[in-house]
Amino acid sequence: MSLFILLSVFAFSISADVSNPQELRDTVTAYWDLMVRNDKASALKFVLESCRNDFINRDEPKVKAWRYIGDQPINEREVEVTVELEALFKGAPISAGFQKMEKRETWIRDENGWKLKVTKPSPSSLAAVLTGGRTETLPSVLQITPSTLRIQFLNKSQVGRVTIQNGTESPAEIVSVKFDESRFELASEAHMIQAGEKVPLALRYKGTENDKNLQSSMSLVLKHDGQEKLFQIPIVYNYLSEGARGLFGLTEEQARDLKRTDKLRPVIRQPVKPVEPPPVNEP
Amino acid sequence: MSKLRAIVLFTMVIGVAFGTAAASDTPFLQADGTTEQVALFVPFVAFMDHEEDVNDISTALSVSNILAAPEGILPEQGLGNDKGSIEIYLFTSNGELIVFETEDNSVGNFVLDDDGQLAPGRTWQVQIKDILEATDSLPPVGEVLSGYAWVIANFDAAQGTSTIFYPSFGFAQGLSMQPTITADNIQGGIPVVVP
Repeated sequence: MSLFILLSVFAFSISADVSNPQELRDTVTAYWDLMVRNDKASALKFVLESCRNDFINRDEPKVKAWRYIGDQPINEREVEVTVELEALFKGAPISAGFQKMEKRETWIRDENGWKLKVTKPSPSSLAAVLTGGRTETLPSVLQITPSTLRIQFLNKSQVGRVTIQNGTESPAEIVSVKFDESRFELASEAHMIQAGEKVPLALRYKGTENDKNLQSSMSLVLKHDGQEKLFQIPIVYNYLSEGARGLFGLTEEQARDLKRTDKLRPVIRQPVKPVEPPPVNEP
Repeated sequence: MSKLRAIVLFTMVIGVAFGTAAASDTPFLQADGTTEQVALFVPFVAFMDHEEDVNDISTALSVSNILAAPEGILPEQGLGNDKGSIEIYLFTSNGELIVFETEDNSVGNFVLDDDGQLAPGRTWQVQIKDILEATDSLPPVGEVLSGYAWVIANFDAAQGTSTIFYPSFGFAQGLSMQPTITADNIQGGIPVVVP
C-alpha cells in the first residue's frame, strides 16, 4: 500500500511538470520575444546546457513576429511546442519578403525550469526528409530477400547479402547455413531474428575464378514456432550485369575475359542529334 | 535537274533516312541506341563517419523514374522498359570501384518492388552509407570517402540528384545528376548501348 502511495506521488510529481502549461508558455514567450529582438545572448539561458554551443553556432532567420500555436507532450519531461514565425530567411530573395512558417521545437523540463533542446542538423535528423517519413513494413511472414544472392565481380569486397525478414510475431532461429566452403565464407554472423526485425546474412567469395555469372547455392534452415523450415537460395558470383557491360563498353567476349586487375573506363557517350539541314530559300 | 532541286531532294532523302532510324531505334527522345538502360552521371559524393551513428559528411542520392509523364511528353516509339532496377557505380577518389544494384526493397526509402525495380512516377532515395554498408565498403571511422558515380537505370528515362550534407558546417549542397532536362534538351539520361 505504501509503495502504491509512493508511486502515485511520484507519478503526480512528474506529470505536474508537463501539466503546467502556463509556465511552459511563459518560458517560450520570453525566449521568442528575445529572438525577435535578435538577442541570442539573453536567450541562451533558455537553452539546455548541452546544446548551447549548437545554439550559438546556429544560423537564425530574421524573425519579425511569432505566435504560440500549441504543445504536445512527448513524455513525462519533454514537450513539442509549435510556434508560427514570420521570418526572413538567409538566401531567400528579398522580394519574397517575410514568410509565415510553423516551427516545432522540443522543450525539456529540468530542475531549473523549461529549456530548449537544439537539434544539431545531421543526416539522421534529416532521415524523415530522405525517406518521406515512410517506414518499412515487413510482410507478416518469415522470408528472405532478394531471391538470389549476387556477388558483384567488380567489387573489391566480394561480398553479397540477403536479408532474413521476420514479420511474424515470434522469433526465428538460424539452425544451419550450408554453402560451398571452398568458395565462400560467412561475412556476417546472425543467430536470431526477433519478431518484426530483419537481419542481413552476408557471404564473401574467396575464390579466384574468372568466369562471369557463375552459379552456386546456399541452404538455410530456420526454426520458427517449433518447426524447421528450409530455404534454398541461388548464388550468382562473379556477377557482371548488362549495365556494367554497357557502362564499360564490354562485348560478351571482353566481359568473359575481364580480370579483377583490369582497369575499366566508362564509355558512355552522349548521342549526337542529327543536324537539321538549313532551310533552303527559293531564289 | 536544277541545283536547287537536287539540294531539296538530298535534304528529303537525309530527312527520311534519319526519320526511319529514329522511328525504329530511337531511345527516349534521342537517336542512336536503345533506351532499355540509361546512364546518369553523379558529379560528387562524399561520406565520413566520425563515430557510430554520427556522420560528419553524408550524401543522399535520389533517382526518379520519370516515365509517368503526361500524354504527349514521351515519344510513342523507342520505349522498352517502363520499370527496372538501379545500378550504382561509385568511383572513389583513390580509383576504387564500388558496385551496387537494387535487388529487393531493403535499401533506401522502401518504394521499390520485391525485385528492386522502380516503377514509373516513383523516386528512390538512398543514403550513400546504406550502399556502402550493403557492399561491405564502409571506410574506416574518420576517413573520408569521396568520388563520383554513374547511375545505370534499367528503364527508359531517369533523372536524379545528389545532396551532400556537411552537418558540422550546417551546410548541404545539392547537385543534379547529368544530363538534366532543360528546355532545349529534353532527355532522361544517356542511352546505354550494350555491345
